[in-house]
Amino acid sequence: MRKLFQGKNLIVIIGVLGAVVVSALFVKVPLPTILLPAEKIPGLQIGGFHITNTLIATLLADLTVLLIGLLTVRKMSAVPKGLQNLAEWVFEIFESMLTDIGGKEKARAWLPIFLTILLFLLFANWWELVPGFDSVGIIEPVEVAYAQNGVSRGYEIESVAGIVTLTDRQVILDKTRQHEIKTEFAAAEAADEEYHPHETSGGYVLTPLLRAAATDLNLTIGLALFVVLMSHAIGVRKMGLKYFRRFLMPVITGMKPIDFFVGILEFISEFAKIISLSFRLFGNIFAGQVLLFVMAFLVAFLLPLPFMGLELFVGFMQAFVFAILTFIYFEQATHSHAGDEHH
Amino acid sequence: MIEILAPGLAIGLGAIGPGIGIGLLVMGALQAMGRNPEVSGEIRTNMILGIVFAESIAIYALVVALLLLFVGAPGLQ
Repeated sequence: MRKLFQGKNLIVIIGVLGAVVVSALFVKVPLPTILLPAEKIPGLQIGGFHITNTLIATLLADLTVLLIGLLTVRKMSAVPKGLQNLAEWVFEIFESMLTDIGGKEKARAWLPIFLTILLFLLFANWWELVPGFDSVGIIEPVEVAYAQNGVSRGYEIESVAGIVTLTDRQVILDKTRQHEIKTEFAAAEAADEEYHPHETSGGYVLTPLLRAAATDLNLTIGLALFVVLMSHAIGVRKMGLKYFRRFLMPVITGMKPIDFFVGILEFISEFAKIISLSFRLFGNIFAGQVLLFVMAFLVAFLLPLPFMGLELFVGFMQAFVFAILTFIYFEQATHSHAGDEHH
Repeated sequence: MIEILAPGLAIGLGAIGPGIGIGLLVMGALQAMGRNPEVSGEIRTNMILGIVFAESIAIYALVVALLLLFVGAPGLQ
């Protein structure tokens, strides 16, 4: 322990601490604009369909999974090494885990869908930690951003070595100006022409080109809907129309009051599944993103590092939980309801 | 004023339950690990899974807080 604070180490430690203090005092990072809906990228639309930054991030995560998959299967050998070895290791770990939960047959059948969801969400979540996410994008006047996304706080800009960046000097649109912009924008919309503010306040807003895919509810709800609908499809395939007995208990079993309530509860729980799956993923990743923003805003140097480690863990954990719940829902759908056994 | 207070209360009150829950969860897991150290790996995995589920309840409260903060309640302006 004593050696740690001697010679070279001491210089490094003092240097790092000094950098933290200097960055805390002098390097000011603007707090990024936090928006719940994904930002539409200005000027990028295909036939009236606005491309959002989360959509680009989703495609990026898709490409990553595809690329790794292709690289893995390019050179296959009986004695695995490199990427193939890693892939087989991952495969075996999760296969044995799923076998513990649902048995060998089901584990084999649903491992592909399990791993697809797991890997896709894993890369979608981890991409958020790559520098450039949420920080590289298109800068536009705060008036335009207010008209399109409802952002009322901009920053002054400056040019550092040819790159335009935001400074920490805020420009806030007041209520009367907001109202003016709204009417101007509505007029421009009605005349079907592009909106240009007649005066600008000098404030600018950054619309990032990339933003973590799971911070868009469209992705998480879509995925949750797919999982729940798929579980019904699996149930129907296994048991035919008998599958719906669990929801229509009173009709089948002759109106026992308890069964009636069980049926209602089962029915509601299907919607609860969609909500809990989607909001768990969305909330965790969105909260992590806000956490990273705020930490970088407080002290730009070194302080965000432990939180990035935390986000690495959270990103994996949420992907894993989503995938394992998918498997569990599929597995539950193949069991006939407990009430069916005794008649 | 209420616009600031509402999200704070949403996450503040919403975090009480999951906090107690995670405490109980870890207590049980640690006691189990102390009694049978040989299965502590398996217990730890399940403990982390349980923590994630308990934590997600706090996350729902957080989502409500964020919604109130960034989108605002309808009819509250």
